[in-house]
Amino acid sequence: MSERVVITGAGLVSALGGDRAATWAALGGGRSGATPVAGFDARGFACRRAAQAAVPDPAALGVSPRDAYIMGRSNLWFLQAARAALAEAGLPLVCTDGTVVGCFAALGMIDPVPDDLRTAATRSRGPDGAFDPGRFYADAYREIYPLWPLAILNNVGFCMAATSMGIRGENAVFAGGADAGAAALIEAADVVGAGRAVVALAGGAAEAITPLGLARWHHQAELCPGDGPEPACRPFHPASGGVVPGEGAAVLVLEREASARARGAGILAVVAGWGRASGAQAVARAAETALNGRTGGTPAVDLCIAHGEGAPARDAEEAAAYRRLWPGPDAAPPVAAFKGRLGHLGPAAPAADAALAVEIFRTGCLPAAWPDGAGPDAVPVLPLAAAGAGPAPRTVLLAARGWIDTAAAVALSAGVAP
Amino acid sequence: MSAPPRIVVTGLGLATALGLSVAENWDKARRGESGIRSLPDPADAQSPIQAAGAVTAADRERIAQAFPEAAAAEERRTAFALWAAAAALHDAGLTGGHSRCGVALGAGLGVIRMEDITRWLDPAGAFDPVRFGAELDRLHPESSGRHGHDRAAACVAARFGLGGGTATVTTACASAAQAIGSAWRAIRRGDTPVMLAGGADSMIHPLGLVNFVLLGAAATGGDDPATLCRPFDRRRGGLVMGEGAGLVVLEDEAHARDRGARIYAELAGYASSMDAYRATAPDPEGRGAAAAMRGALATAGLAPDAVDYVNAHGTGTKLNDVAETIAIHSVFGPHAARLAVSSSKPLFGHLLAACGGPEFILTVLSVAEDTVHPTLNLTRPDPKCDLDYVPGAARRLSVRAALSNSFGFGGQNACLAVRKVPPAEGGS
Repeated sequence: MSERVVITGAGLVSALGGDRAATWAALGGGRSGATPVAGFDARGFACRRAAQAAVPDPAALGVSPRDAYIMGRSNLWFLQAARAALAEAGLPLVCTDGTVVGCFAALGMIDPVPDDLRTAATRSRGPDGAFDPGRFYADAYREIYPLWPLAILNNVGFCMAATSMGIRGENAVFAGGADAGAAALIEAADVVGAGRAVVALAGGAAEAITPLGLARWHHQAELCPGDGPEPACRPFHPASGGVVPGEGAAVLVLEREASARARGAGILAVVAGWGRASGAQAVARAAETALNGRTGGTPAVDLCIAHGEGAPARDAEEAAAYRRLWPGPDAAPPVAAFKGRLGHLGPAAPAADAALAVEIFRTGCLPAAWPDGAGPDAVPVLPLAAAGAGPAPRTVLLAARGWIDTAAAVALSAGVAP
Repeated sequence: MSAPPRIVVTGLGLATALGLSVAENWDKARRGESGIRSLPDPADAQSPIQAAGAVTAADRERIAQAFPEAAAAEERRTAFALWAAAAALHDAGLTGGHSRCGVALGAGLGVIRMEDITRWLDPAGAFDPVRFGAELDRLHPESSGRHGHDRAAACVAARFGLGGGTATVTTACASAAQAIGSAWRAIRRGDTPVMLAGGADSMIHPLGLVNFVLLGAAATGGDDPATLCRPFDRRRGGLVMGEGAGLVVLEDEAHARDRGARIYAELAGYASSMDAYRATAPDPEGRGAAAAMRGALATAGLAPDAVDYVNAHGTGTKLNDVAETIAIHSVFGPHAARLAVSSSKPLFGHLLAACGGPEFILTVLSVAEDTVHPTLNLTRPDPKCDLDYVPGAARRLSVRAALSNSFGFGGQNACLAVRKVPPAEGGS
């Protein structure tokens, strides 16, 4: 039978900072991480801005250059966030008994860097410049670095990160959009609650922004065009320009409440429920399940951290879901979203939202200049004047949406001192 | 405090090189017929890989007629998933949608096409991101520049009206088994009474075909295609790629019985583990694999000597087969000598991220029908592989319980434990 599961560590890497405190401080300062895309010339893309995170120094994480190549940026961010979470939880960075430690991540695609395939591609071209399989098979493919196939498997870099922490227990990698991030949290909480792991890391890493990755963003989301400095992603705002892709990672440490208390760990939050749904009304159904049906006339939560990706049509759908969930003028809790500042972290978004929920629980306040404002169709949002004022939220609902009609929700409650 | 529900298998669906029906796959598996053939596409004539367990062109055409939307997208993986999902749901008698049925699917990489690079090389041979960014609509419909790993699961949920949410697992060759395990957990904790789970994958395209050559893991010999995959044989030369899908319907037993569903077997336990060894090789002592098997037995409440059959990961690579053999010995002790162990990969190839789906289905059928299929092409056993791998011909034996192993590149391991449901309880 499942026992209560708590969060005792939360690491966050984002465009706003290399750790949770820096990100929180930047949010408080009203900063957005969105900047013109760096790393390649994105002038041909309609969307030319992203919230890109700094790449950690592999050596600082104990990762060799060869391993860093295979792990790629996403799994380096994951490792950076995981180590921060373990440190906060007061756990060793390398497990003493890795068989009782689980690790669950949500990751996106790992796209090839065109330069990795450049020579092979050049030698594969026929007289007309098109790809010629015969030339590719004859010898061009041998120009590909033999370990390249490992570098495009998202789980291999994940395994290398887990191995560096000595983790040998239950695990999974979920893939997709933000719903995948929720799946990782849910599975980890289940495994810990059921006693299959004493501790589990749960989180996700965003896809690194690459030409092929930005192409996929273009096909999967309504992106914000241009690269201007204005805050173009404004969740639930009628003038929002669309989604801004984000980079980074977030990882939580989950433990059973009893074992966390027994070792004197600080309890940052309690995993109070979850739900998943697909198809019509997926957001509302997932949230309702997460709240165990407690969605009548009064909100069972103090704050909803919405998926709120900034795409007007999808945001309107989501707002409608919350109206359905909490009918009545005063029934809905405040609804907020972080993607206007952090960008859309894809599979890392739910863990990032959870890490920020920990800050909300800890500080009892929301960042200043929060959020960008609501339009007439938006659900109620915290007014700017509420920043830093009023009672601290005790229960937060996190919502996450996938690319195609899927959704998940996780409810967190504030932790208490040990 | 109530006991977790018993979870049963009520529907099976397959699309492999052996065919598009479970009956055809099972018949050919028992007869020892391999679906591994020479690559059919003339464009692959010079490939270092000359054989694979490819779904036949005729069968792909059948799938395309059934699911024209997948055919239009030219995405083989999603097409296979849709076919196997339809078959599993039909087999389970679950048609017409189900608001609480979730989908958990193991899926591999998106298709990275060399054309995605060559088309946008400039005259000097450098990739031109500016022109690429301006021509995104010219990307091939199947390209990973259009969609990610999770497309198949989302399409299955949408096509069949399954409202319980989706999850896509990407743990290389452990993906489908972990997806089935994740579905088992979702039912066990009461999230939903029914899940559709399994895997779908295809990497039969130029970059996919050479990936395992680059890694030194592929069988590239000029043998007869049907004998190229030789798990546990001393002449084994590596894995032989396959493609397809295998999906199952899992249900809370009470849910299944209430609606009079046929029950094939119980999915009694599941566990995963990590090698924490190397990205490129399994732990030579098989510790991670053994931990997954022990975990599956523990969650199932099975003693090792209650197991009669292990459907091995059995890739036919030098390292895997020895490590898996060592792991089985360490888990089962003296009982290992009494186990029947076979690998399904010579039948339809290594379905990569999907492999755990079809192999789990064959494991379920082994338990349900007290028959295990043979390990093909095992004529000169490797002395280091010293278990009973059921060489030559299928075998009738009482299979009270069985394990299905899947181990992924990188070191992620999964094991599913299947237990017989007594005939008196077997439902209609």
